[in-house]
Amino acid sequence: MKRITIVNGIQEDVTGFEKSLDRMMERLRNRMVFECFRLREMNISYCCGCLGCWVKSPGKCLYKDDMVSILKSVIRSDLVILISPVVMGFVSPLIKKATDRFIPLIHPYITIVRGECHHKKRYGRYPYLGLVLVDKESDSMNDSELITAVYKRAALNLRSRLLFTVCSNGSTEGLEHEIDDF
Amino acid sequence: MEIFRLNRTEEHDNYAARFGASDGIILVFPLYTDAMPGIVMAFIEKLSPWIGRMKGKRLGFIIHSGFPEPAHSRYIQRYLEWLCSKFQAEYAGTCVMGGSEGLRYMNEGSMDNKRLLFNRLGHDFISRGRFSPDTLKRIAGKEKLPVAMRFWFRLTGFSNAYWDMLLKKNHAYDTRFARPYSVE
Repeated sequence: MKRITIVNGIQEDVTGFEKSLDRMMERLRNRMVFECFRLREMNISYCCGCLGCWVKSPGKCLYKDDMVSILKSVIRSDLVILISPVVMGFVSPLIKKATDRFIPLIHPYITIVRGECHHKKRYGRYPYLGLVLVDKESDSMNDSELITAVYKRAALNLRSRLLFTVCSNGSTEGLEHEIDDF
Repeated sequence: MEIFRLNRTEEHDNYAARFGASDGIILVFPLYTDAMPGIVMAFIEKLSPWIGRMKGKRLGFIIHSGFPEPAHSRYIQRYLEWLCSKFQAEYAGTCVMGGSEGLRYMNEGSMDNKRLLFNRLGHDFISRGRFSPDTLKRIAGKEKLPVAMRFWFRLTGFSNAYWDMLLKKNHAYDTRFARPYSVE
């Protein structure tokens, strides 16, 4: 069965997306294994950029907080879905904080990928990424192109690929369609 | 002139109030996973009351990254330009500097040129209200590594020597390929 990690960066669920998400996971549970993390209820520090995870305790962040359980889940999964509201035209600080903390998963050594410097892999395989932007205002979805461009790059630096960006005003229909084919 | 340190999250509300009261603002951050660090995004969220209310104010950005090529920072630069337009502020430009991770180990002499360029950047911002394209270009350097340098990087693992030096200093060299989050 495919393993899917859901990193939920919704600060306040004004669209009812989370209820739809629970129902979607229930429907797909016989085919997929889900692990879901609700960031607003977790104790996660901001990355301070010390690079200790590269040069002091290789592969391990020096902070002993709830991010450890997310990183363990991410590295064993086939797909990581990042869920975020659109905040000031970008992802929520919660999602950004969590994805900043992904760096222990890669190695500090540099290699050339597509003619650019990127970090080497630390692990043998990495999950694909998917992005869900949740917003009750459909106008905000015009921002998805900029956000997608940045997260395509973030996926490349995680030696992975952004498979999809889904814009939702509370429904999980688009997301379910994407992961149904996965 | 005041410097607001965004790592003081308890001050974000105070900083956000003073953001709109400033005539010119330069937002400085390191590139974290291809964008602003989460702590900077938390501050940007606090700036929503200033959307459409920054007419006549000047807003510039400085991004520095560990990667040597400025190309990595151009994606989030597009967002910063968009953000500036939402504030209706005057866009002063985005200065992108690569290769910043090793700066702390550079000797004073080799920093002189960079210091001079950044002084010019500040002078431009104060006197003309925007960064000069020439200064931005000189600080950024080549957008992508030249082919010969890519080959040299690949062949020699040149940049890895820097990481090896730090790993050895911290007695962590032997475990540098550890995979602590693997599930056995």
